Parts: sequence; C-alpha cells; structure tokens
Amino acid sequence: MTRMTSALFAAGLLGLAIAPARLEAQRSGVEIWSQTCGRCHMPQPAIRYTADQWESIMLDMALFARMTDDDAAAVLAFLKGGAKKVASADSARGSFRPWAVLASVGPAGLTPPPEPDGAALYSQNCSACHGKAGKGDGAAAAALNPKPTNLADTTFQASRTDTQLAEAIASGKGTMPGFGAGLGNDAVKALVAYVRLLGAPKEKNP
Amino acid sequence: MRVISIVAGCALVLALAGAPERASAQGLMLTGYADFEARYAKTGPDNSEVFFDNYHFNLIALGKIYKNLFASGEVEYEHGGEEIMLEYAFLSYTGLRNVRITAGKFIVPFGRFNKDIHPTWINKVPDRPLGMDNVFPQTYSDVGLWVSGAAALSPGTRVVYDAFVVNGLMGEDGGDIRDLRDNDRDDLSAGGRDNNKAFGGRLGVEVGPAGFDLGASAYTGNYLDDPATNLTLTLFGADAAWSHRGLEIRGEAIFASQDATGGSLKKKGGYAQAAYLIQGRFEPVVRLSLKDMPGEDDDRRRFSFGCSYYLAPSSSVRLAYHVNMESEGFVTNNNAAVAQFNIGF
Repeated sequence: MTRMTSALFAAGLLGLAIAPARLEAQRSGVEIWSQTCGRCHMPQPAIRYTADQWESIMLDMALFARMTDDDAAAVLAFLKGGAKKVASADSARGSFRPWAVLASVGPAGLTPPPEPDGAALYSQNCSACHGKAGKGDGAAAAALNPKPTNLADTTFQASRTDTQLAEAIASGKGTMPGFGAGLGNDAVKALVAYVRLLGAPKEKNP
Repeated sequence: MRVISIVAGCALVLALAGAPERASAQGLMLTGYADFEARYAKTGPDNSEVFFDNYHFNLIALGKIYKNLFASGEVEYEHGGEEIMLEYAFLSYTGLRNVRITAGKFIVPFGRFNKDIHPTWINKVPDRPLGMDNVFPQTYSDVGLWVSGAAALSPGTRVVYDAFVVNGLMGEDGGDIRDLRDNDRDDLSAGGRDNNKAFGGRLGVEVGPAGFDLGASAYTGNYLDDPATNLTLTLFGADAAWSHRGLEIRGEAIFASQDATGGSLKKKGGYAQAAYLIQGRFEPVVRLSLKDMPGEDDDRRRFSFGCSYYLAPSSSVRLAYHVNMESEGFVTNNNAAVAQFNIGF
C-alpha cells in the first residue's frame, strides 16, 4: 500500500515535470513579488540590491519558491526597475558589506541617514501600480484586482488622514504589500507628504 | 567527513566570492544569515541554565556561473563551537522552460519548514517545532538529483512540484530518525554505504490572490541496507498556509512508518502557527507543536508564544517562551525563554 501510494505520487510528480506549462499567469511583477516572496518572508525592497544581484537572487528564489519562468521574469523586471544604482564596477561585486548592513538595520544607523526624498521613494516603490501622477494607472495596474487607488482623487484625499495613509503604506492594504519595515518611518512620512502633493489642486494657467 | 565538508564549503565560497571580474558581472553574491540568542531553560526541578548562543552564522554563495548553469552553496557554522557543516552545495540547470534540474547536495524538499521556513530570520518562533526533529529530521539535506518547477493554472494560481532521488537516510534498526542523516560517500557509521536510494517529492497548489498554499510530501527508502531485514522508512507530510493582509496561519503534519525487527514503528508530529503583523513592525505569534512517538513517555506537546520586532525586512528581534506540556517520562517541563537577534544579509 505504502509502495503503491509512493509510486503514484512519484508518477504524478513526473507527469507534471514533463507536461508543457503554457498556461502562463499574466500578472504584474509587483503583485507576484508581494504574494510569492511574502509566502515565506517579508518581501525585500527593490532598492536593497543592484540589478545584477537581483539576477542572481531570482535564480535562487525561482528555485526555492517554485516560480514559473514567466512569473520569475516579471518579478525580476519589477525589482530591476527599482534596483540600487551602481556607482562603479567595483561596487557591483558582492553584497556583503557589514557596515552597510549595520547602518541599514540599526534604529539610528552608524551614519546619519539622508533626508528621505518622497518623490524618489514614490517613483521606486509606488509608481509601478499607482502611476506617475498617482491616478492608479501604472504599468502594473492592468493586472491588479482591485485596481490601485487613484491617489490624485481629491475625494479620496479628503477621506483619509495622514495617519491612515501612513498605516496603509507601512502595513499594506488589499493587494498592496507593506513598506514600513523596508523603508522606515521617515520614508513613510515622506511618502505621505508626497501623496498629499499628488492630490493637491492643480493651479490653472491664467 | 566534517573536514571534507569544511574544505569543500570554504573552497566553494572562496571560488565564487573571489571569481574573476568577468564573473562578477553575472551577479555572484555572498549572502547568508546569522543570529545571536540569550536563553533561559529549566533543566531540573530546582535547576536552570542561562547562556548565550551564536546559533547560526551561515554563509551562502550563489550566482550564475555559465549561461543556464547556476550554483549555490551554504556553509553552516552553528552554536559558536566546532560545528561547521556544508548544508548544501549544488549546480542547477535552468535551460528548460519551467523545469529546474539540480544536482549535488540540496535541502530535501519535503514540506515547507525544512526547505523554506527554517532560517532564523524567516522562522517566526526561535527553535524548530516539535516533530521536526525525531519525526522529520530538519534540517535534512542529502546528495542526489532534484527536479522542480511550477505550472500556471490561472493568473495567480500554480501547481508546484518537487521530485528527488537521494542517497537517503540510513542508520540503525529502529533508530531515531534524526540520527539517520549524513549518508554520504564517506559515512561508514552504519557499517557501510547504503546502496538503496530514497525517492520522494512534494506536490503543491498555490492560490496567490486568496493567499492559500497547500502541499503533500512523501519520502520512501530503505534505511538499513541489509538483505535479511530490508527495513524501509516512509514519510508522508501535509502542509497548509493561509495569509491575509498581516495575518498568517500555517501548519504541517508528518507521519512516519519505520520498519524495525520488533515491528513497524509509527511516529507523527506537526505544528500549527498563527502570526499577525502590526504596522509592518510588530508580529505576535503563537505555535502549538507536538510529537507522538512509539513510547508513550516520549510524547510531547509544546505551546510557544512570542513577538518579533522588525528592524528591517530581513532582520528582527524576537522574544519567545516555550511551555512544555510533558508526558510522565520527562523529569522536568524544560520550559524555556529565548531572546534572539537575527539578520538575513
């Protein structure tokens, strides 16, 4: 009985292994990143690694997370889009810089952190879904259900306090992952301020 | 064997980390995880111990080494003592669509905890659950071949599979399953190498939008290479997880059937765990784990509760307390408190 069950199990696995897998998921990289990476651990922010490093990491993660090739490619494209920029060829080499790790995880860090740039943070982390102008029309929006919130909508802006916006950014909401642990409180505050600008009435030309 | 593991591991890490500039453009990386713990544990009715533990400092080297060939290896240094092992080191071929073929020493893909959840920066409760020691010998890595991949059923839903053939667990007649590991070429502890291979795998379904993840695992193989007895160890496992916003609930159950000259030994274990992430920083967690062994005195239940504070997505400070609900065979309850700092880097 045990042998037979094991044989059937093995046969099922083999069948799947050799079967053509053409039913591809057409989902956005950010959505797959949020759901698949979040199955085991907090999704790592794109800016943590360089594009080259994400290439290697995704080879490893595609294996561990059993992703389809298309899903892995979509996630990689999303992560490379917001990846850390390389200052020189030498800095692309390896990621093990203990001082950088310590500086990034300590409550205050070892070096004074730069002032968070809300616009840059929004571009790196939010615009893929919410769009450049915050209208919920980013490149990834088409595949999302429900659709990303239109942050430029004044009715939406009026219905949310800064605290509520900060909580949504930090902890996530709906299909949106939380960014609080990855970015920190100051960055979340900077994002709230920038989101408010997106909803501010635009001055009309005289 | 330990010396060979150390030398091979160090050679792999150095080779990848020190690869020529041409290779660095392919994104070779040195990563890993580490943790530091302060522990308090009851060791007797009137005794206890308090100690620091450098439980892990594990270095992982990974990267694409040529076109569709990918290499990864992890050197495991545990407890700040002399224990240095090669947890895995493999080559993986990525040239086939949705199929990965991996050869070498890899973490055996049985269930979720053994392969995916056990690193301390991921595992929300310090320590492995009961059942992941004497029923399934986590962390179990072995030498062999592994085929894995996924097929999309619909957007967000995929079937995932792992199939493997490995040297397999090997040891004494009716022995503790945890002691059956390390059946590699140089292991002669059980009177010679085991010529029988072990087979198994995991079949799972992931429904991304709903947050469900379900799987079933199997493993079977002779664990004593003796024509007269032909003793087989078979393991079955089921795992499930559900996450919704900050809430995550997961569990696994493992059933072992171990042939022995005195009769078949039935063992089972598992855990259920719930965690809730608040404000992206705080995460309280509770876990109930158990193991039922052939001897009633070895049965055990453990209730664990704790909380994590995330300094970063891959670093946290965790506090946990284990309450052991013992059967009579245990002299003390062995309750323990753990404070842990961990980082994945």
